[in-house]
Amino acid sequence: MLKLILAGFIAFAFSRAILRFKDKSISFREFLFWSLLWTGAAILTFIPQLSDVAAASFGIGRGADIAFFLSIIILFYVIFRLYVKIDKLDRDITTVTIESSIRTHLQKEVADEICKPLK
Amino acid sequence: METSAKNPSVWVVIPAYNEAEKIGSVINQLQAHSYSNILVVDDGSTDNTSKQAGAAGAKILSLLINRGQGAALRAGIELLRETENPDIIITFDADGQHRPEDIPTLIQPILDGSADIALGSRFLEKSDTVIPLIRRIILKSGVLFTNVISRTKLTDTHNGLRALGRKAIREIDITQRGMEHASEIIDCLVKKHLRYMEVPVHIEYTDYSLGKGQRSSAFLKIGAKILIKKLID
Repeated sequence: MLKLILAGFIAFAFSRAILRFKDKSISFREFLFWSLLWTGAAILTFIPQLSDVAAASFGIGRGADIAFFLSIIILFYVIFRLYVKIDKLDRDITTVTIESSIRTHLQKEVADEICKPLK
Repeated sequence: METSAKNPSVWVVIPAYNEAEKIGSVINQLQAHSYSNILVVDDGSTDNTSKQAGAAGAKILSLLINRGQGAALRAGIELLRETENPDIIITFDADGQHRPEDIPTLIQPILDGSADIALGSRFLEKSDTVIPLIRRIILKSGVLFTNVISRTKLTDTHNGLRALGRKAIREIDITQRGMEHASEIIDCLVKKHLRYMEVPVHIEYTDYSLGKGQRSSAFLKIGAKILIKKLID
């Protein structure tokens, strides 16, 4: 039952990644990242003993431990990617604010210059 | 100096956020020392900063929303680059902690062509600034951090009083919108091989300026932002 719920969630998440790639919201590299992640999760859901093999090759005792370590690494990576995106958005907002404020200022100066003889 | 003018055009840029109480007197002091080209960048203030600055006779650029001191400076420099083509831009704080008397010494290295940018320093021997202990420790930590990151040997890296010559006005690109722009400027001038010089200046610490200044914890945030920027770039 748990396997089915996990498989359903993975299929849903994978379909989201495909849709985001189709509407060009994410790049091919990002799509590849999410594809590998969800494929890996699907494989481990149905063949959990594979995680023990992977763990042994890294010198880690249990398969569950390697899944735990990998999750932390992936979470850090995702947080970093989010930070970079938010930082870019923040810089874009600053640029738009500055450009727009300068344009408004210059337009006002021109308008004041034109209206000067009328005052 | 990279200018054809005998009388160089000097502009003072003052980034200001909710400084209605002080901005008028800061402008008047500058005018009393014959600095009449003053641009106040109102960084989305919610008080009467723009009104007070305008009444005192400064040119005003109002940012639509508050974006921080770095963004306000960038806006001021961009506007002057576009409209006034100045020989020298002086960056000056709005809270009254800088002295107009220091400007002639500050711009001298640019006028005689020995530097592209002059940086005010409160830690040089000739500066008579009395710095509160906690602030001194924080500032010195900031200096050490920036010197390590940017490979410089400066004595003061977060001093808002600077003079930019034509080359620096053209080359310096501020992308950090908050206080971390000060470290970014240092990093940028090293990367772009700009000639820089430190000049002793006095900083007037008052309850008002200390209240308006950065909180101690903000310096940790600045350090983290600079490190992450290095990682991203």
